[in-house]
Amino acid sequence: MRKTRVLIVDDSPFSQAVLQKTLPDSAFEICGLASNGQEGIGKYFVLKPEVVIMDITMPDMDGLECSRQILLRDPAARIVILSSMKDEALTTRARLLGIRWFLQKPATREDLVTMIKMAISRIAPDWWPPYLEQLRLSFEEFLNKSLEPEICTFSAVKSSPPSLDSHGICAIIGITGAHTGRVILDTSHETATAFAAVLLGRPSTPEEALGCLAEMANIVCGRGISRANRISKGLDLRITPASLLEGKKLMISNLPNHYMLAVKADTPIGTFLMSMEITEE
Amino acid sequence: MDARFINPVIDAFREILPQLGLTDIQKGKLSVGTNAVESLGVTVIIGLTKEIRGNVAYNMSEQTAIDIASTMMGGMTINQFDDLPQSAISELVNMVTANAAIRFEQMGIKVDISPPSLIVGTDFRTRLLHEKFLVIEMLADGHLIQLNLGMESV
Repeated sequence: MRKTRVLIVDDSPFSQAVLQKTLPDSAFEICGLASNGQEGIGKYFVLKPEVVIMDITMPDMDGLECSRQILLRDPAARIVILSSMKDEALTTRARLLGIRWFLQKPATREDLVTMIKMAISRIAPDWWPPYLEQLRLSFEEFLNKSLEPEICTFSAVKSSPPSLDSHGICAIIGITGAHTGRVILDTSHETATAFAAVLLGRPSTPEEALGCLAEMANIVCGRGISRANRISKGLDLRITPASLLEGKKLMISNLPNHYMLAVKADTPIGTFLMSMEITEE
Repeated sequence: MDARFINPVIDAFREILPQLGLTDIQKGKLSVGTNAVESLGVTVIIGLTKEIRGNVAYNMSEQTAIDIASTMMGGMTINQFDDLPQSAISELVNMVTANAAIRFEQMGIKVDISPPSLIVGTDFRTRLLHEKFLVIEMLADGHLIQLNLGMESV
């Protein structure tokens, strides 16, 4: 397996040393070290790492400015902020730049690996319409927000079987407009029931679990598609109401001639799968 | 649910299925379903937006799906309900619903439809827009296809 290449931008030799000692293993390698913002930008475009671990306080420019300059030239850059400072003003600034992976020092290796994997899983295949990234972000935001402070791990599902084998219950939402398609949100009864209980703050009934999944699909798709419409004018994408399916065994056939991307969310209460299928034009 | 939604769907079914080789089309029972559509084996769902929002679930047994797909493909022998017959049934649902959408448009009601989702399995059910929905039983060459309409005007 090819290792994930990580560039570290941090002015502290101590921090650099700690990361060099803890991070590399069979999955990760450190491809470069930079001690200030300018050096970080230079090395990013020479080394082209998959992920940057970025400190904030540095002598020539802060890590967010350095990230901004990298993202300006490479909007696909994946940057994880690792800083001793973490407050709302900083996380908001980071989010406005499109950076959502923010860790406070000292971070455990496990936290760092989780964060790097989250950043990586967002690397969309070349063909994927960029605006649909909004759907995926919306899914991740919804789960993260609903379950915080618990950590959810997101990963792209690579294989594409001819049909989706449901875990027990799923919501299907259709997409109409310049691109047609659908979104499937799938999980088990147990996970849906646990999730409804988290949102309600009390034990939930199976009926409430179904309602919760339908509402989750509606919010995730509604927000994602609204943002997509704002980003790409003229798409006029709309969502249909959710159809809810439940049963012992059910398989949903893939849509022919549609692109598909599936994201799996591993959460403390169980696994959710979101599958998105869309026509090219 | 608005009674105006019923006829365009039935008329679309009557117009499209003969074009696919199914000659004898009969309307069966009309009823109100509650809670969920119990699958007969194969359920195809299509979503609606714009001035009508909701969902329609076409429901049939796997044998019916195989027989209809076989007729659509000129009498080809089909042993298994795999990719080819599945795409034939999805296409049938897409054509009927698109035709119904055109009929709504002629009535001055704009409707957009999503691609059809085909689901196969055992012991599963589908919940539509509301707890109550309309069930129309249609017979095509003696094969039962149940149309479940969960629709509302916007």
